[in-house]
Amino acid sequence: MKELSEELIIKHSKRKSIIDKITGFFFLFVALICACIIVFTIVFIIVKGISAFTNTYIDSNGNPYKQSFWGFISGMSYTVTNYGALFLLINTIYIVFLSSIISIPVSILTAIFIVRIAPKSIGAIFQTGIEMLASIPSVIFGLFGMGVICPFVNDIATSFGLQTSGGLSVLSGAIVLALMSIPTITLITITSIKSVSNSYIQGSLALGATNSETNFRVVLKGAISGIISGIILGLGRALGEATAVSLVIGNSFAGPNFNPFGIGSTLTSTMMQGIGESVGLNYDIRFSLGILLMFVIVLVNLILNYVKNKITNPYKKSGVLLTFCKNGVIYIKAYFNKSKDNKDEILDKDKEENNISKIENKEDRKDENR
Amino acid sequence: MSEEIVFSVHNLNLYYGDKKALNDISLDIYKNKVTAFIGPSGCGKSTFLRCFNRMNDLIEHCKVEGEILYKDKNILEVNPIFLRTRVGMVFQQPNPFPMSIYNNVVYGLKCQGLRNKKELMEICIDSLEKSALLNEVKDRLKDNALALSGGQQQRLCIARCIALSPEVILMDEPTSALDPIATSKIEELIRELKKDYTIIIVTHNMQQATRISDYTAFFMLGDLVEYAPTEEFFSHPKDKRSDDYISGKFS
Amino acid sequence: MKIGKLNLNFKNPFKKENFINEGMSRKRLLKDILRNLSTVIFALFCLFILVYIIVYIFTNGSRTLSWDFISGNYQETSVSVRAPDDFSFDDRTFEFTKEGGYRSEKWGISFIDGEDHSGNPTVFIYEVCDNSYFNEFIDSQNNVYTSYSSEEYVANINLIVGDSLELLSDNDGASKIASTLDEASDVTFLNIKTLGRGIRGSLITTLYLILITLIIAVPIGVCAAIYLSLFAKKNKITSLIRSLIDMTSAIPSIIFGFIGALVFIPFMNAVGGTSGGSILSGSLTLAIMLIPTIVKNTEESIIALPKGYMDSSLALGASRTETVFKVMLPNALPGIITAIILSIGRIIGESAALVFAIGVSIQDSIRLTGSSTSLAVHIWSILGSENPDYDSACAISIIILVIVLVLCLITKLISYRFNKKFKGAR
Repeated sequence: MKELSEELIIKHSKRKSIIDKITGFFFLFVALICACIIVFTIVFIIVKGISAFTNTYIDSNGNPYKQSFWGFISGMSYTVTNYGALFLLINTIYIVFLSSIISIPVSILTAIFIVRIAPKSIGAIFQTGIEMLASIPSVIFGLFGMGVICPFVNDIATSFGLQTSGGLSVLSGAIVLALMSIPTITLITITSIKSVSNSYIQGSLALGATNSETNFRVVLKGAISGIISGIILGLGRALGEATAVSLVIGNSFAGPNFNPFGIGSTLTSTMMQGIGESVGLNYDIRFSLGILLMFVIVLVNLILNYVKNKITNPYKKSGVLLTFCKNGVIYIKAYFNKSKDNKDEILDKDKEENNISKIENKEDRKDENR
Repeated sequence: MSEEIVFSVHNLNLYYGDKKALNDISLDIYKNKVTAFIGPSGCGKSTFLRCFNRMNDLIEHCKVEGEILYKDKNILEVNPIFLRTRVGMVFQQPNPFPMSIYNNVVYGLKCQGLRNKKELMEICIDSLEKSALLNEVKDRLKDNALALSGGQQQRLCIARCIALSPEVILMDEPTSALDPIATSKIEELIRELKKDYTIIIVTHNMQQATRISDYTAFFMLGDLVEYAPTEEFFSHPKDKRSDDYISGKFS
Repeated sequence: MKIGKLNLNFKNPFKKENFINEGMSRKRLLKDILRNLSTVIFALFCLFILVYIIVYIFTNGSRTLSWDFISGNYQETSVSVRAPDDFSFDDRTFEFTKEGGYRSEKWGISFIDGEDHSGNPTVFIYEVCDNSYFNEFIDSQNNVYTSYSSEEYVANINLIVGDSLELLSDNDGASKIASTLDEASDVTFLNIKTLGRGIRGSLITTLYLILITLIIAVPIGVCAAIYLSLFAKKNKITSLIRSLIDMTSAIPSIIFGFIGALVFIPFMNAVGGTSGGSILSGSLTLAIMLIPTIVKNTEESIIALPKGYMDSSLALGASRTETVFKVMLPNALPGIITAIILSIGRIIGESAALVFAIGVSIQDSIRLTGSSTSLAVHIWSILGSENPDYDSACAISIIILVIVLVLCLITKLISYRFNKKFKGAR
């Protein structure tokens, strides 16, 4: 090689090392900016949300007044004199709960159908359909809700002899939210069902269980942690959803309303309500609602994560399998959901209880999470 | 011994975090010879190989102590980018980049700032010829390299290594992912290449070591158990552990 | 041949063998069938909803969707003109160039029947001759008005026929207006309007939003992904960065809208000289909202590349930077494109954040620094009004839906091809 003398390569290499350091720092810097987004978001919302209670506002008669924090946190009506948010909080949780009653079973059963029951090509068609449903923007769900679901709810109410305000109701809101969270939950459930190890399924089938029994008893249990993750995301989407809900819920200013056919409101729908011409406290209080919304989302996340850890996938934790022979009979004992650390304890206890000297044990630890 | 020494390793220790992976290793690598590292899996032979071009720098919590002298310089203090142009490496899995064959071969040169098309083509042809690949690919230098067969891909990896005209080529089990015919071609190539280059090869296959290497180093649990000319090592192993390994008592 | 194979695989709960199976009790069999049936029903329900949404949107919107609708102004324009005070007829003749329409030979103008966006009959101006008396008419500022166009329709026209005043409007029909005009001696009032309700402004705004948001978000997201996947050490700070970015994607979009209103609108007011929400503030908001998506997708596609690429490139004496730009990024391009497509889909569909970050006022002339709104917010704001205009909401939805669903299919195709390409190499 004529052109590439050793000195040249050394010079190149040194320069490259320096460039590498610089690019490394640059990329780190950008990554830090990305990580800061959430921190700044939370700080800004909290500062602005709290300022609604510390600032003094002027009402329409020119008199100064303040919004009390207690009035906000415990109020059951959302009016110019006092923007109460407790009823919004209760109604939000109620509506999301109603929607989850619809969305969770539908999603799980759909996922089972797609992965375990349908032939591969039909499953793929259904999955594409669900993915398309997931990509439909919320405002179109709102339009669909206003144009189709509200009249539908109105018809149901009339058949019960009840009145609705043109179908705008808590139930319509819940149905729209359910439709919007179904694709999220279904897609994640599909992934987690697919990751359930085939050996469990074959084991169940070999014990004479039917395909559907295997699906419901073994596959669902194996996929439970993924399913709960899906539910967390689905409920998160439902809680944070604003435009679609605001179009179908009717936006009441007092509550809480538990009648499915009556009008209601959620935190998000109230934030969107009349945004075009809002000023002063009416505008600022929306940020306080924002804090409340984030609080609810975090709370729901924590609760569901707790549940997830509590009923975590039995196949993932290590179990202890003991086989021993006593009085000429072979015993097999299995302990599930015992962690590795407990193993020795169990063995010792068993030794004492059964008066046996030698225990063969096998440890079964499977981690099929991708 | 009268042979010229390329690498001279003195008291090399390597740690992964707290775990010691290589224990006080000292040996010399001779010029224009094939040196084979053998040993049971997990014995540290690949880790040791990666010390010669400092690929271990990329692994976190990996700390190297001791010295590897190359031309009287400790390579642990040489710029790694420069070092890697002098000490090439071929990996276990043939992994040509998803570009054309030509671009694969001249990749390293282009990174060194060589832009002259004519010269690049000359080196490309030369390297492909040296790696016994030219006849098979000369009509399709612009084709995607992923279309080649596994053995061809591995020879391409050797070619792109040669293009930088290194002094040493490190090979990390280069034939373990290949079929017997492709393996024999690579082995033939290695015997050919040792005229121009010093080759260090890690292999899992003792027969392969006997077939192609001049020196053999046997590793176990991070220790260098025995280092000797290949014939001597396989016929009269001095250490009992080597004897056990050769006779297949463990693997 | 495929169908035969399908039938074989399909675990039909109603297969005869299942009924004859003696090992199963009746109850168990029934349960089995019910379980399988329920999954089928719910899966069909999901598909039904998808189809229902698409059908509903298309049947209601297709009538309104037209080129005029897409390219037209949202605001209606209205002009009132009248004959000048010293108006009198002379003996001029008129030459009509267009065939058809109902002509008034006396005035040199022709009309045609048409429909407005909601299907009500209207009378459009069809042709105004060059030397028509109408070209001498004056508007309320006494300026001569000559810019008649075929998009304008006659809302009201007051004529003097004989001694009486005739009041006609657009639901009288073109022939009536033309024939009455022929009898009239003077036009005291003519109100001509354009239809409005077009979406050109919102469409352009949406395109701007997509462009500017991607220009901001893609480089940042890709750089962060490169850091996380190729440069970062596996330590606590990296996992903190990663989990913070992950958490960002869990924040509901309305909260990002707040950030737009709180940070970016004041920022753009100070820096860009805007007043209130603008396309720029909207783009910045969307950018921070989409960065997590871009980071995640890019990172995943880099990680999915064969691990040997990095090692073998470095072993050839390339630097990390060269490896990133010459080997890793070109091969992770499908992932980056997927991220861009997903982002486009979300920008088009995003409404809650933009309501706060850009505003809800629908505009016709679009400036980067002026207020305007995107298609999705356009839908939201017309649905939120007193009399929701379902037809145009559905028509806009058709546009959004078609784009979004096509993008969805493209991402599927890309990821399929990406997986296929690296299947052997991994």
